[in-house]
Amino acid sequence: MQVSTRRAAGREARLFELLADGRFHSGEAIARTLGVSRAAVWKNMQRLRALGGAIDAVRGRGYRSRYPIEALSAESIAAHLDPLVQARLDRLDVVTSIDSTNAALLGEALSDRRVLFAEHQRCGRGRRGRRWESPWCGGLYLSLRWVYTDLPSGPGALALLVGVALADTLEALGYGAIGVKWPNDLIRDGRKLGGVLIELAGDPTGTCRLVIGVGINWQLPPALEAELDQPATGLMDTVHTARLPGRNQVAAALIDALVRACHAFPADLDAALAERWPRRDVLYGREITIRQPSGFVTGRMAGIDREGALLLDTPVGQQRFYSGDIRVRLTE
Amino acid sequence: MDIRKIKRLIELIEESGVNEIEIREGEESIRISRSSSVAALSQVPAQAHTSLSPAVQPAAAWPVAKPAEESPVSGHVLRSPMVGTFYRASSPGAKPFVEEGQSVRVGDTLCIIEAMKMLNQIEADVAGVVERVLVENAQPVEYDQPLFVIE
Repeated sequence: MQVSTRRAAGREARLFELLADGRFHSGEAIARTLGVSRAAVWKNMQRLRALGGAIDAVRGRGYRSRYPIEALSAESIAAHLDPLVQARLDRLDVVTSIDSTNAALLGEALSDRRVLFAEHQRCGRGRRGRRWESPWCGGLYLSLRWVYTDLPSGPGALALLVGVALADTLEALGYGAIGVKWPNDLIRDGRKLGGVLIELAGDPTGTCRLVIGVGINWQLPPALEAELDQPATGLMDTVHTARLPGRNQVAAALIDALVRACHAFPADLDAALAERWPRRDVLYGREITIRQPSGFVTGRMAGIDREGALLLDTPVGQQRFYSGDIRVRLTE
Repeated sequence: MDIRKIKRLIELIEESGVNEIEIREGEESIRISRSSSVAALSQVPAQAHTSLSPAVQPAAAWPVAKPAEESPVSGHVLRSPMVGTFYRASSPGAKPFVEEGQSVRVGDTLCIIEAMKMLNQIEADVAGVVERVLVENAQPVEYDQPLFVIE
């Protein structure tokens, strides 16, 4: 497996690295280190904030990152990877900032198995043109490219199993009880902790290239949280006493989970859907509304079928859905 | 709401010229539209839905694929490789990947079909001119449903 970390040469990136220890640094000291004027430090600080960096400025003390941040490094992530998983990957890269990790991997006409992390996405993608907010070091943003050559019943159910695998992993690391909202939103205490967006090209039942994009909130800036369209939470936004693993270790665990899920699919499909999905499904038995092009359909969530489609019991019988926003407020 | 009442409402709407009706009773509300009630009624034995996939979605009852059947098609027909929702553009408000009359090369993305939040880029399998777009944006499609005619 080829490994690389590309740090942006930009001043914002250097500034952030300087502040990552969470201690106060005076404007003067920063200016000296970076070799710029204090006015330039202030300007760059504003820019970094606009990118979502959580930075405090206190008169007389200077600037600091609100939380100590362990910067991602491909070498450090690789050191935490399961050797079996490492053997199944061709490449692992960490970059400072990128438009979208999914777009980057999908855009390459390559089919090697590659993982790409970014500390910041300029336009992280959500479903149907929605943004995935990716504040600087505020989350773990990654994509994995994987190729299948023969999936007789299609890749649909993998979307669910990826969510289950991520929930299993984060829970095992000590980040609380994590559920999955169909098809693969990660939910903790009724709040969205992370999301998955899979894009594929090729024949879904023959040879296809999948790019699995994952965004996990690490620590949400309060200002951003107020802007989001649903309640959100981050891995660190919880009261805990146990010592939790650092970002590089969590990053490696996410890769382990994704690669194992992709490798086991579709051989483990039936067992996983029957045993692992129901334990994570947060919607089962609940009254939900699914938005469709023709309007809203309300009913009781009755589980999933073998392809991963959602089953809904409605007054006129059971209906099956392959897509659609689900309007359940889990905190109802 | 009582199931018999809902049944009566459905019968009522079928006899009438009304397309859609919404009724509120306290906290409960139900909306019945002609397109969905017809499709859904034919499904009432719960087992019958297994092979019909998205036809149980209300919108599928709209005659979206009809143009293909109305006039004989001479060009190459590109069919859906999966069940899901058909999108003509990468995001709402974006320019469609292709318009009728546009030339495409093999491998050009023609549309996206979404299922389980997986976005599948459907690529042209032949080069030519897009003669017809047979499905409307954001409508459900079934496996093997004709999507495009390429001359």
